[in-house]
Amino acid sequence: MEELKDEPFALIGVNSDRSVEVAKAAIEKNGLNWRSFQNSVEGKSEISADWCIEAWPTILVLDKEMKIRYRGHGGEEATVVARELLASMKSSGE
Amino acid sequence: MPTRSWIPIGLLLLVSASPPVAPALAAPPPPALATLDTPEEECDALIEELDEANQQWVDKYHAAVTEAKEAGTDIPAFSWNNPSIGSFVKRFQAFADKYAGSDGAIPFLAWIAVEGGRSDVKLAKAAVEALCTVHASSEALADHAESIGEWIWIVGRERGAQLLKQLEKTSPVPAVAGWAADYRLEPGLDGAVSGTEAFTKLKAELLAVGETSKDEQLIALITKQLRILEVFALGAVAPDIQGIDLDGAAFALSDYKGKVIFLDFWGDW
Repeated sequence: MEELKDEPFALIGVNSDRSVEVAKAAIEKNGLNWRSFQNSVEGKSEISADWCIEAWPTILVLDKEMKIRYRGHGGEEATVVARELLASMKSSGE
Repeated sequence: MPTRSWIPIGLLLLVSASPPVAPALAAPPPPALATLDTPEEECDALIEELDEANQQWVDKYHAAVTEAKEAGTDIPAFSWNNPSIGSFVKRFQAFADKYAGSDGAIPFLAWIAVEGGRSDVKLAKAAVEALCTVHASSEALADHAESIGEWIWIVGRERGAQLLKQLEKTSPVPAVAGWAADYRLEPGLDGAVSGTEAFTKLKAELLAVGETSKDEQLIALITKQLRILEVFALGAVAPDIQGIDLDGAAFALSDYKGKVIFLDFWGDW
């Protein structure tokens, strides 16, 4: 998704690893550069529980109004939806 | 897959069948579990035997891996299906046939419905058919209520929906009717699209079904399914997330409003 870095596009993670260290090691190892929420923060309900996530990975694609346009487990499917949204934003001059 | 409590049923029967305490009798009671006198116990014993066979299968695989490593040869492929499962399905079916038409068949059919398809899809389908028709009005289905949701996938969505609808109408047990009704919240089934009049009706019906069932697990499932259908429906505005990133800095999902957001629930484990 490197080629989308100049587009109005944000890749945001919600990380469910048992510790920040594990997550950071994965980021280092795989050269990931997206910003992630910590799924579990003491004193707050887990984001994945609030979002009824039952399988990992789960991906959602939100449009510019934060409306849900995709929810599922297919990275490629989600990427297609995201590209279509970006294309339609571009064609409407945004 | 939901875990089922096979054992308590048999024990409960034993407990309720035992006479009131008679302190005058000094002799200890005979070992109660020496013989298998209920179908539930026979079914439990068969499941236990299968568990052992599965364990042996796994142990055998581990031994083969160790051997291959020592010999420097290729590690053998592992099939999660114990090859003896087929003979077990036949034995479960033999019991189901022996008790055909009576409650005794139910634990065997319930096992075949959920597990039997791994070796014999036809028998698994027939088991679901029998459970939803011949046994639909039996109270003994209550012990298997939590697995009802899986039945629909065994016979296929269309037939499954017909059977479960019938079961929902027929069963005298609220929890059975409730678990049978739950398929209607499966995304894509029954046109459950939030915001429509049909959905409002469906929601009210399912909440009522849950309440009547008094089954906490079913109520939790219905609540969650409704939340997915309503809050996370395609086209719905996603809720915001206020949290902290991996460096501990606070941020919000809505900070990125105006962009296309690709939100990935991930983990490395």
